[in-house]
Amino acid sequence: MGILLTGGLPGGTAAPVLSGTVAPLIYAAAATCVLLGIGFTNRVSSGGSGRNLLGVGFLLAIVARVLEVDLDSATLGLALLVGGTVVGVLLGSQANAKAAPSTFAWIAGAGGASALATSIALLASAPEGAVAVVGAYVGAGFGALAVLQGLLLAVGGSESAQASARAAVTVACAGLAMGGVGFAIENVILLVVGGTTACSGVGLGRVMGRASSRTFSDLAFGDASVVVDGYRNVRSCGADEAAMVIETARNILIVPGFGTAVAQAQHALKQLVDTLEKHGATVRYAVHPSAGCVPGQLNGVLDEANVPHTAIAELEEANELAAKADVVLCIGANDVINPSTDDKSSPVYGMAGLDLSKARAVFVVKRSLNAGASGAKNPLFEAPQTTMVFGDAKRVTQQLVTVLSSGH
Amino acid sequence: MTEVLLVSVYLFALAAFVGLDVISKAPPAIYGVMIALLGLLTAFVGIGAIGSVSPETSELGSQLAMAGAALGGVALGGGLTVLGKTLGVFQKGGH
Repeated sequence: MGILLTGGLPGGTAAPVLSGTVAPLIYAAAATCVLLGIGFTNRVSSGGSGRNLLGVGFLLAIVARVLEVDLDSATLGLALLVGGTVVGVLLGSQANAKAAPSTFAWIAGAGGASALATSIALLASAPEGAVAVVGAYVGAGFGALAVLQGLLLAVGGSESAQASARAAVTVACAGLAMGGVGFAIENVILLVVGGTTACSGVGLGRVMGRASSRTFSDLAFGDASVVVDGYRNVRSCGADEAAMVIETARNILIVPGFGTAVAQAQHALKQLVDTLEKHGATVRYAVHPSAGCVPGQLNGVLDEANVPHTAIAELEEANELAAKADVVLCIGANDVINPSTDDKSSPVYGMAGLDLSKARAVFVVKRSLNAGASGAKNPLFEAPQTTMVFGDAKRVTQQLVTVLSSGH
Repeated sequence: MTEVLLVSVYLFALAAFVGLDVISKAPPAIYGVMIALLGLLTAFVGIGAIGSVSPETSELGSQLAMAGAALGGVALGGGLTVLGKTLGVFQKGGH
């Protein structure tokens, strides 16, 4: 145990003086920072704190590592680590703000390459013991897989759900490689972070597959798409998960449709908007002139819930608001948000369109993927920025109010 | 030796369960953030490269270890930057 916590080195590197007492404590603090950082990043609102905690964890782990090896042998490695960090920052700053899977892949690929190089270096040091040898081989094997997968994705540059799943595979391979290196050099932080990363990569791939109505293996390596009710690659989530994103938005556009009137969701909707405004968000309604069973029906329904007329945007203004919106929340709407108005083969061809393609995130609350009154398929449901929230408009809206009011 | 191996396996498995538990609660809209986070975590392997060279290590082995440290740094810098950018998309007014 003592060897493990102090990171005993294969091949006879000089034993450090301080490591026996200080380094294990620092490693424990680093591991705590990492695990807390992951937990914080799991919520968008605290993601910045999570990132900072991960940075602190990394610094602590470096300090512990330097304490357990002699400083002379660590100096060059530290300098190269810092140099590599500068290169990484420069490369990362060139990446797309929405960070495509190819960007994630090259980062994980770099981690895998690091594991591969370190593992081969360890094997070249004639490691003592079966665990060290096997760990180094595991590190080299999975490191090579991560590099290969990372290169393929980085060159491919795809942004599909399948590419995201493969990026998760790359991360999992890099995590396993890190675990292998951790076993080889008996280093606690590599074991903890390697185990977390490997399993999280697989776990993330599984939940991505579930959200796309597929298994992880089908999503990552099978047919690139799946058809559900005539739609491919539809993402869905619950009200709780949608609320986590909505609560971080500053500009929100609400698009009520006929389903809002049918479910009598207008009062819950007004309550939701009041709650969002209390959180500091700017919320506007976009009412399509054709929404409802007769023109003007939705205006009347919103009027019933005391929604001020000034909060309702006409179509032209609504399109401008949608382009700037952090979140567009469509409640019980279908044909009025169909982007196929320019497609001559679509039943909605020629209808005045509400363009939601530039919105950062679109949530569509709807009972199912069934077609609206026009019978037309709605490509918005398959768009990468869209997430479906299946359920009754009133019930889902009330759930959103409950979650947002509770602060969770 | 056996004790060290058992503790290593225990820590690895415990961390794996913690990671799985946390990640399973991530909503679909922030999958990008979570992959960026995991990419950043892979940078920790660079720490293992520091000081992993012994007197018995060949010249090539030493150079590879140094390359490992540098590549870990690339993953660290890239991971921190991209995670910040990805989170920025979700911050208030980050559109």
